[in-house]
Amino acid sequence: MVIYSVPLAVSAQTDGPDLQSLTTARKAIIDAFNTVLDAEKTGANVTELINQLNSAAAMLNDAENSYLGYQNSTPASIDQTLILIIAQSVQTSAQKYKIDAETATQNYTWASIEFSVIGSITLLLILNILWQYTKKRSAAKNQQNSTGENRPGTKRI
Amino acid sequence: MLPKTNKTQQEKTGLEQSEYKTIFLAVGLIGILLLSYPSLILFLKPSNDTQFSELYLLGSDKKAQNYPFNIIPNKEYSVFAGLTNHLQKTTYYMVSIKLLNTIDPLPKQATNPQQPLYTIRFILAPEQKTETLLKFSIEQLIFSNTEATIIDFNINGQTHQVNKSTVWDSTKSTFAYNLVFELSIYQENTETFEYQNQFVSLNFNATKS
Repeated sequence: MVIYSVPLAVSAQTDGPDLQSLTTARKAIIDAFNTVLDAEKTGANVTELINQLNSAAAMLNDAENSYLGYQNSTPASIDQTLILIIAQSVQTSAQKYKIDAETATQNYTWASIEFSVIGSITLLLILNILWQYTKKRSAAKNQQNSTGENRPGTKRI
Repeated sequence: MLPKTNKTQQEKTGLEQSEYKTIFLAVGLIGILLLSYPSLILFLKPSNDTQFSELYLLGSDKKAQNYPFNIIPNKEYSVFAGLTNHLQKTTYYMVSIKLLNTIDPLPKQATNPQQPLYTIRFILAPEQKTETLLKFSIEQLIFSNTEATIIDFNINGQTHQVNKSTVWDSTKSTFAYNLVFELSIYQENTETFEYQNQFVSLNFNATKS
């Protein structure tokens, strides 16, 4: 018995999505994804952008699977324009988010450094004052003890 | 006796001072460390946990049970393909679904060269998961002696001419097929989807009844 395996048929539908449209849509989503990734690296909250991009990816899925499929299936035409609009909108928003996140990060960095430096200096000053006070008090106590010890007539038990 | 007593008193006072000194130093150091923490975390990145992607299949009731096994023609079956992103960053995934017979190699080391029947792409934020419903059916199945051939296979409404044959497995009494889900991730540096040597498969028996 010979087992044969016929390669899967992949045929472009004449009235379905064409390869060029699919390539353009794929690239648009990838470009938008890369921008979202850059924004995420700067600390931006990109959850909403991911949701938007996933809606475009879902449209691409439908078109791509329609392209892979054949016969008896009504080919889904790719709404390339809509995918491009979503991808472009996501890209623009991601760039804005990135700038906002960069500014916020910069502000946070400076605020953190200022807090650490000023806080540390204040703490050291307070500790120094307390230390001087404690040292002075300890010396006075010591001196008081020494005086008490040397006073004529006193005897330590 | 007196000098000895005086010395003991001095020792006592000195010990108190050194104790104070230790306390002050400890408070100072701990305080500085605490105050520096917001600045330090800007420069010290916390160590990442193990990073991986979780790919799984669930039955029609969204549980790891009741997987379809005996598949008869023209009846629709469903599974859920699940994916969770544990890669600590937003990731663009692609799952390619392929129909394999018993002699087709499973994609353990490299992707199977067959064209996918169906692809799913999604972008997941860290720790985000998705579960996609997949409905499939055999639309045309031919049996001849010890061989079965799936002519048409349908996934989520898309029909594919597959002409996929398999031989009778007498040990398991099945005409076995594998519906394989291969996981690829978009790589920024190569600008392509790369197979992650990660797959799940649904083993089924093509049968008349």
